[in-house]
Amino acid sequence: MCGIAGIVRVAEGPRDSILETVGRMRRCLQHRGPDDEGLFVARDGRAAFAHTRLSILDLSPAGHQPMSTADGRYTIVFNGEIYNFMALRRELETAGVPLTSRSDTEVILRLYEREGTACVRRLRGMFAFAIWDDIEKRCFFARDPLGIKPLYFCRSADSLAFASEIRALLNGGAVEGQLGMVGLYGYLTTGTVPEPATMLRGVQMLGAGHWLEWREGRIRSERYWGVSFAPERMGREEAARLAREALVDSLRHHFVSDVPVGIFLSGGLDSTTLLALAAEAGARKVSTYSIAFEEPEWDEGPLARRIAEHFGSRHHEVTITADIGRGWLEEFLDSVDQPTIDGFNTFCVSKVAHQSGAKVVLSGLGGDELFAGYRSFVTLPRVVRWMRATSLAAPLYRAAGAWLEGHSTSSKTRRMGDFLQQGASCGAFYRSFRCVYAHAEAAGLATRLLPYAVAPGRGSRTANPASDETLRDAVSLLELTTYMRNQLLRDSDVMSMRWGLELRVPFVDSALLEKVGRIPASLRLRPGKRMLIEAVPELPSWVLDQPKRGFTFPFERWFEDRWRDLLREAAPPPGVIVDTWYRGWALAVLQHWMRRNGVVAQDDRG
Amino acid sequence: MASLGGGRLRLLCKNDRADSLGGALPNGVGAVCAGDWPGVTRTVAFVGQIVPAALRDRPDLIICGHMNFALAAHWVHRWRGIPYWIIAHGIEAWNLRRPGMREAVRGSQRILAVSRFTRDRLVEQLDLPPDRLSLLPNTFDEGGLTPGPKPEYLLRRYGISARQPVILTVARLSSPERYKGYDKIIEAMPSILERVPQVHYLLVGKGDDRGRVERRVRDMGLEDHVSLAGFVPESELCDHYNLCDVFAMPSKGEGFGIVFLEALACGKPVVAGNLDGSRDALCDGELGALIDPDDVGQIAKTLAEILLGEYRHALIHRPQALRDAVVAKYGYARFEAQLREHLGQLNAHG
Repeated sequence: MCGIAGIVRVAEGPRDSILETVGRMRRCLQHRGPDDEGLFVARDGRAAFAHTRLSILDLSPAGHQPMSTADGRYTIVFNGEIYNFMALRRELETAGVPLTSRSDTEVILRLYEREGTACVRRLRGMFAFAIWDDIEKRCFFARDPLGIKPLYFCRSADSLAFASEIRALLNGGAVEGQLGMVGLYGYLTTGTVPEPATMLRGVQMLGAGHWLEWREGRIRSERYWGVSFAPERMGREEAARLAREALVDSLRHHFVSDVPVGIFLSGGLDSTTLLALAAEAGARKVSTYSIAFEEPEWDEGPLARRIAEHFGSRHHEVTITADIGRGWLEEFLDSVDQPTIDGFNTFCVSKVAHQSGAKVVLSGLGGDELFAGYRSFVTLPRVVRWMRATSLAAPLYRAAGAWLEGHSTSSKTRRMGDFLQQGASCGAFYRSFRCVYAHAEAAGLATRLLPYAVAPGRGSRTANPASDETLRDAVSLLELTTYMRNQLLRDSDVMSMRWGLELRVPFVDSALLEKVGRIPASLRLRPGKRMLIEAVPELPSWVLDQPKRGFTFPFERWFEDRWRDLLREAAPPPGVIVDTWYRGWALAVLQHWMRRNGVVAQDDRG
Repeated sequence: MASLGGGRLRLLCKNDRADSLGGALPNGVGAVCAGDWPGVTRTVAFVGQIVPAALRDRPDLIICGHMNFALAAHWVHRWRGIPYWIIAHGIEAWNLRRPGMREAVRGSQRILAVSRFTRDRLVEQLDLPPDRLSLLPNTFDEGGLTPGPKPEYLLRRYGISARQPVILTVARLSSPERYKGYDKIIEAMPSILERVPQVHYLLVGKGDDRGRVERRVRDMGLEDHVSLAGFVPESELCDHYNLCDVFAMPSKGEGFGIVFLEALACGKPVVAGNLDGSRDALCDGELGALIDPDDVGQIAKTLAEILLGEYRHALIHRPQALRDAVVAKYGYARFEAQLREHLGQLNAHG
């Protein structure tokens, strides 16, 4: 797990200058891979790659990157883990391909050499990589199916630069820091920047499940994998058996490592499931990590401790007070790659794990999306059904919505007004459900910073799932492809890599998803994660009774009290209501990020 | 004017105000302005000024700077026999319906058309003898427009990087003037972006069509690639031309297109439509690229090729040569010579 960066260009050029830029980008990624680093530059100066390495598989120098084939034709930089690399390796060896290392990197390189772009369909895991073909002078990029590992790129007519973090492109000098409207609006409405947009004009995220080929300045791109459900007729027991098999299989793959693998324990069902199935997946004596708070209603410390004891893990716990949190906050803000209203929790727990010597940790992220852990699974179908049943009143809803959004003094009602104006679609409700600022407020705020740009329209940029899916499947799809992808996975990557810690997410696995996707929504997405509970009877009953948590921080309390001054600095313009901590926080993080990274808005004062 | 052989000139302006015009006039040129009158009353006031002035001053010639006042000149001619010429610009002269107006235009002694396109449309509509019409192309203020680096303050204002290629259009965004072709450029943007990924489109101008333009930008997902500058004061216009890498206005309704001359004076490549007076402004392609204004594919291809330096053209990639050429063709000296020639004919014919 690592940091990657590079530049490819159409024309030959001096090797020193391209190396210098790529070297600068690498320095910006140092934290992602403290164990090793490497540079590659093509003989004609058309391509240069940089890599910082966190060694997890094949700790020997044979795993060094950038890695080239013996004939020098292909060179790869790769960030991630391929969990089925052993099987692929055997396959390659049987086919007579000579392999010189024990690393998954070499497997990708050889697969691409043999199968071309189709190789991505063979890979199970989390990844973002680039492969330079020195004969065809083309570059192949790919990102994992669910979007766990990021890959940013910016393109000009004669070159393309890419990196694992947007700051590497920015501070490495590959792009100038101009705030982009689509990313900004997306951030203000959702609290994170929805891919493929980014906060910077001209920089894009390669979409999850996509590959891209660059050749002489032209690109072609294709989505090779997408979330879909293919329900089959089955009973409850069969479903439970299927889910369990799929989970254990995923977990077994996620334990593949040459260093010990730990677990983030939150006291919730998902992380407890990981620990409960660890032994069956072949793990011995795992370490668990958790965070405790002084505020009893938020504190999951005692519960996590009890779970650890129950399953016999080596447990590490750190108590975070408002003051400790405050002390870490500056460091956290400096670690933010693109503005996000979340991520502090992962930052803290990663810091704790890192300080306890961990290198690889599993997280229960994804369980809520797959097994209906969120309130959205209950609320959305109810509201959308009701709206559809009363569709005659749609003009009334729209009028009422417009009035509410314009006149209400509560952010919640404004969001509701935003929704009512869009009609009875899942996408619209979901957007309002998860939204930070409602459309008009977000567009207004964005236009203050970018007065000459056009703000996106109401209801744009969220895919509306096909209507033939059940409403709960639609929620699952929305959660997996928006909130989880853009917010949870992005923050997890940036904040764990900040500490050189590899975070693995066994619930976010294409093979697992394909298997449990066969279970009909009526079983799989029963409220309260009944499916998961039936699949993992080892879950103790005293865990099941707990209210939903999952590393939630007492932010509300802290912002009211010890952290109050933080929000004062980024005072909202008139007309914008800040009645929840995250609305103010969103503006504060944005301001800090722009200042820290020299990102500019449109400046009217010229 | 003073150099045109000692004649006396009196200027009657509808939309200017006396105080704003005063300093710009050479000695001996008098002016009457109606710019202080608000709204619709202005036209009435203006006619109220010109007719008595013509009857009182008994000039040798009335030149109507805009066709709309041909009617007034026509009356004066009928009462007093004073000859009148009309300058025909663009769209106002292409489709004359009102019988009174048709008669007033037909009755003029000479029509100075700004382009062949306008001339031909008039000949065709009114069945005029071709020798009644002459060409007097527009000119422009060449001194105030010079090539220069991309101005820092505008890069900051629009959040554009100095390395970013910029396409510029300067046009009023008014719904009757949608023929200006900015829609087509917005439509062409996705394919231009494929080849020139960082390209930015800057649209200068204000008007009631803006809401529709914004919707179009949204529908096409171009929020990060288009900026709407709104109204830009005259004093910043030259800087805006210098901010761009290519000026494009694939219009279908230009009588001539002075903005093309202005962009060329700043050494910028120009893309214009091939169906109207733009052809004259660009000298049939000698000064820039003429394209079919309805062909989005061709617009995209041409703009991309110009931005990539691949467009084959003798002048387009040489800023100073463009400026020299446009000044030679349409600079003030040339304009003055042409006008002198026309007025000379007046004397010759008595």
